[in-house]
Amino acid sequence: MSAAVSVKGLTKRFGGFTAVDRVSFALQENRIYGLLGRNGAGKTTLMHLLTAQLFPTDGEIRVFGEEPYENSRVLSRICFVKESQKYPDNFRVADVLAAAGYFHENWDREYAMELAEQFRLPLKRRIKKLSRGLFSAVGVVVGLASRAPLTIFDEPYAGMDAVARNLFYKLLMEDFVAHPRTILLSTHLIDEASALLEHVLLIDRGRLLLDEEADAVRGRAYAVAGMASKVREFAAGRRVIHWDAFGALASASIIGSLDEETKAAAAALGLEAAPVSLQQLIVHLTGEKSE
Amino acid sequence: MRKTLSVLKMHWRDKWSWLYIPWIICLASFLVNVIIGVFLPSDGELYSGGLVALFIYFFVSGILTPAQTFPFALGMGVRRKDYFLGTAAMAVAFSVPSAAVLALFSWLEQRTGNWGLNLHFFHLPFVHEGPVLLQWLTMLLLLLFVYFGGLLIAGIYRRCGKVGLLVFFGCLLFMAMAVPAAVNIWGSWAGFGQWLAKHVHSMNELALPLFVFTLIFLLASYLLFRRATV
Amino acid sequence: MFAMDDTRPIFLQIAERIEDDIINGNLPEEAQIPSANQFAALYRINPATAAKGVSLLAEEGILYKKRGIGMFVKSGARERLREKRKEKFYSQYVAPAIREARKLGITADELAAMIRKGAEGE
Repeated sequence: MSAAVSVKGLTKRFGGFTAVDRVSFALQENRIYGLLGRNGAGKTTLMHLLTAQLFPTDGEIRVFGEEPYENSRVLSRICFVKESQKYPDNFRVADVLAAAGYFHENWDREYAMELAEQFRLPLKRRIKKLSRGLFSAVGVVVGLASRAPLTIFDEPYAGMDAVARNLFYKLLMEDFVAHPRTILLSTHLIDEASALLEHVLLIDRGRLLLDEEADAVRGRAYAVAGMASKVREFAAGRRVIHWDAFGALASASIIGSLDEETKAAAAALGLEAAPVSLQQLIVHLTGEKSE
Repeated sequence: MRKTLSVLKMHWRDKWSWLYIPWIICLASFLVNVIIGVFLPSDGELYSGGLVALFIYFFVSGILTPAQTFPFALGMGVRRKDYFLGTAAMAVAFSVPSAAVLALFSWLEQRTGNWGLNLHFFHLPFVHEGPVLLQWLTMLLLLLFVYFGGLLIAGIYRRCGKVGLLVFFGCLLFMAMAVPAAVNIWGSWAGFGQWLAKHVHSMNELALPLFVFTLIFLLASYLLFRRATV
Repeated sequence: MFAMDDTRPIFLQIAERIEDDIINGNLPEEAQIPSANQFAALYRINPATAAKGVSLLAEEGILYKKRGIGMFVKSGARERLREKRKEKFYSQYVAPAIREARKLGITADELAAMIRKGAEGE
């Protein structure tokens, strides 16, 4: 299977600040990828680079095998839904949907109208006058109805309530099954979206920390808690990625699988042991101060 | 071709900005002048510069259109080249009939004896001379000149930021001062005045240099937009 | 909600749920199981992940594929799964009970009596 996106040594510097630091990865076709990381980690910059809206300082980008800059073969097959998309002041929702139809080859107008109804979008209202949640819904509708072979969502649900967000996940899954395409979803609501992701990319401070199947990362770590001295004893010789101390108590997050042997060992020391979720693992990996 | 057309269609969805507002402004200005003409009759001729409003609007439009639509278009995956061509095409598509309307009203003004009010609004001396067709051409070039001038300024701002704009206007200011200074040093005002009187009878003679500048604006804008980021 | 556990691979959880259904008889042998896409829609997970869970069971010989139709429960799957679960039963359920009993000072005999009473009572 050829790579839909291939990035090598991609770097972006703004003056003295390195937003994206020698990042390399490849996205295979027709999978849902999660781009995870804290605010300011470089996710948005990376997505702007992929869509040629920003220019790299160094490194190589190939989308569908070609460079995206000023390349209509590539650009017309990408749909980028941004959190901060700007719309012309006078445009109404209907205008945006119409314009999206002009620019995206696979645009499905009927589907767009169905989606607009599901999200309760007022077609005649000006974009400027929409609430944050509805504003985001416009982007979501465009992203879904474009059926673009590479669809990129950058935190697309800012301001959306939980019902609307769930609707988004549901619609995304349904349409992905019916019309498979490559989807890159950047989010900091990891636990909500986690089950949808097949593969995760974790960016922190411009560097790529993780590039793995989501399932491979789940269950990769576990946590033990109890008396600090016992925890220390248990943790000796194991890969600790996080340590919390509360006086005489402590908890440690450790890389390894929580098999029966490990459970027994923890129990023997009177410690509680529990697996660490994907979200927690990512928090640990990105929350630490740099060495 | 298809892409350019798509950009054109995108612009056309905003009929208020491109069609309604400029002409409402123009007609409003005209009506005000008509009312003045009706209620404050004077012996002399009433020369109105109200038509300038339309050109100023178009100039400002050129500056604002990219601010409004460039990030949107880029976000929709449009190539910068296609955006540029589509926007330029829209400007031309709008200017041609607009200039025609201006020329038509200019002709009407002459035919109706200045609307029976001695009002010179659409047909101003120096500006509107010669056959109607020539007036149409001159108006067209003037509209394009101001629009693409605005576009150039937008391009400078996008690519070079506020600093770039300052530098640009600084240069313009310098030229505005340098030209009279040069005239003083190398010639005389009288000589300059005579040269002008001999060569420039009306706006029509300025049309060609305007056109050349317009083309320069276009090219410069394109080069600036090519490397612009959102 | 049928929320998936985010601390373990989801494809394993899908496999387990199918196994559960086979063991408790909801999915009899030679019955067709729901498609991966149906699992994905029900549990709101990625269809590829659901498919992976199904493939895992196929590899283990619990399910087999009828081309063009779907996945079916293989004969003897129920027994095989029962055996597999029985092997894990000790370490998953009995060993922890023993540990806990030891902690509380419950003797082996007392524990055995408790188990007998409970098992026969139901």
